[in-house]
Amino acid sequence: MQERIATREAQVRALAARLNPHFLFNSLNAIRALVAEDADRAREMLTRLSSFLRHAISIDPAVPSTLGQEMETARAYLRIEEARFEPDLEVDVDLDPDATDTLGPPLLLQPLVENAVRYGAPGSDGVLRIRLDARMERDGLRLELANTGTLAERPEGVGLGLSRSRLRLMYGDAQRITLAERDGRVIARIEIDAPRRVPEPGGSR
Amino acid sequence: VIKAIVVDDEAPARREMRRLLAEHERVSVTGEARDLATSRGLLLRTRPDVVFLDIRLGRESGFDLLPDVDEETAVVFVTAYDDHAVRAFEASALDYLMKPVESTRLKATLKRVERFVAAREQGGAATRVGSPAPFTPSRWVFLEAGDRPAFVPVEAITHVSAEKGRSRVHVTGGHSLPSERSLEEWMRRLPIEDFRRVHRSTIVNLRQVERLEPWSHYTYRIHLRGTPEPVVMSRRHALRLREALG
Repeated sequence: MQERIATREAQVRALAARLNPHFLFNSLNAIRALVAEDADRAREMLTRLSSFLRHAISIDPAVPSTLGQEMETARAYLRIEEARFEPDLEVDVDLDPDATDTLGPPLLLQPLVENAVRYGAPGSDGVLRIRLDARMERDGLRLELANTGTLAERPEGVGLGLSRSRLRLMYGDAQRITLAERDGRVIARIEIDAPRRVPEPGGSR
Repeated sequence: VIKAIVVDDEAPARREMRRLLAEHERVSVTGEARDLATSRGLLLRTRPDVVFLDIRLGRESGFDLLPDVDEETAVVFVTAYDDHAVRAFEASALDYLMKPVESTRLKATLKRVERFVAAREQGGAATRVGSPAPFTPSRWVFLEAGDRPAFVPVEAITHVSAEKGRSRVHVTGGHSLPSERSLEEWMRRLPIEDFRRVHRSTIVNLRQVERLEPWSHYTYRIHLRGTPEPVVMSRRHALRLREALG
C-alpha cells in the first residue's frame, strides 16, 4: 500500500516537472533570435524542441522507456540549452549502442540534466562543460553525467530524491544513483546491475 | 534619445532585445550585461534612462539589482514566464514584458519610458524655476483617481507607494487610495519636514513612524501607525537620511 502511494507520488511529481515554462518560453525566444541570424540553426532548434516536447508530453510515467529514447530527449534538451547559453555552455553526449534498448523510468535523467545546467559552473576556460555518457560494462549499465563545477554550489541532493525513488521502484536494490566531485567536475552516476531490455520482436521462444 | 541597457544571461535574448530596440530611432542601447556585477558597473558608468531587466540570471536574481538602480532610471522587467515573484516586485518597475517580446507591446513600454524621462526632466527644471507650493500639514489633498474620491488631510497620510508610474496614498486607519501622481510629483508637493523617501518606491510620513526595525543588509523595516505591513527602507536611502537628519 505504502509502496503504491510512493509510486503514485513519484509519477505525479515526474509529470509536473516535465515541462518548465521558463525553459519553454526562453527557448522560443532564442529561436526567434536565431530566425533573424541563422535560419538553419533556427530550424535545427525547432526540431530539437519538438523532439523534446514530443517525448515530455506523451510519456506515461508508469511505463518504462528505453535508454535510447531517454538519451535522445536529454540530448535535445541540452542542445537547446547550448544554443541559449552559447558561447558559455558546451555539451557532449555519447551512447553505447549496446545500451540503447535497456529500460528505465521515463524522464529519469531530466532533473539531473537540468541541475547540471543550473548548478554547473564554468571551468578554467570560462565554459561550462556537460558530458553525458552511457555504456554497458560487465557489471551492468553505467551512466555518467558530468559538469564542471563543485558540489558546494549545489544545494544538498537537489533533484536526486525523486530520481532515486523512481529507480528503486523499478530495480529495487540492484541500482545506485550517486553524486560526487572529482577534479573540478560534479559527476552524477547511475548504475543498474542487470537492466531489463525491450523484449525481442516475436516475444519469448 | 533614451539610453537603455539590457540585462539577460542569454546572449541570443540580448541580441533579440537589441534588435527590437533598434527599430526605434530614439532609443540607444548603451550597454548589456549577463550578471549583476556587470550590470552594477554599467548603471554607474552609463547612467541609463531605462534598464531592461531579466529576472532569472542563472543563479542570481534580477530583483537584487533594484537597490542599485536610482530614481533617474526606470526598470522594465523582462521575463519568460509570469510568475508570482514578478507581481511582488511590480511596484518597483515601470512596466514588465514577456519573452518573446512583441514589438507593439514594446512600443507602449517605450512611450511610458518617454513620459518617465519627461517627468524627470520637468521635475529638475521646476525645482530650479520655482515649483508649485508644497503642502502644509493643515492642507487637504483631493484624491480623485479611484472609484471612491476623497479629501484627505496631508497629516493623515502615513506613506505613499509607487504603482506603475502612478502611486497609492495610504492613510491612517490602514486604507489606501490610488493617485495619478508619480512619487516624484508627490516628493515635490509634500512638506519636506515630514515626508521623506525611504525606498525607490516609497515615501514615508516621519510623524507616523511607530518603530524602526533593523533588517538584512543594512536595510530597515519601518512600522507605521495603524498599518499592518511594515515598509522597507533601502540601504541607500538610509544613508541619505543619515546625512540629511543625522
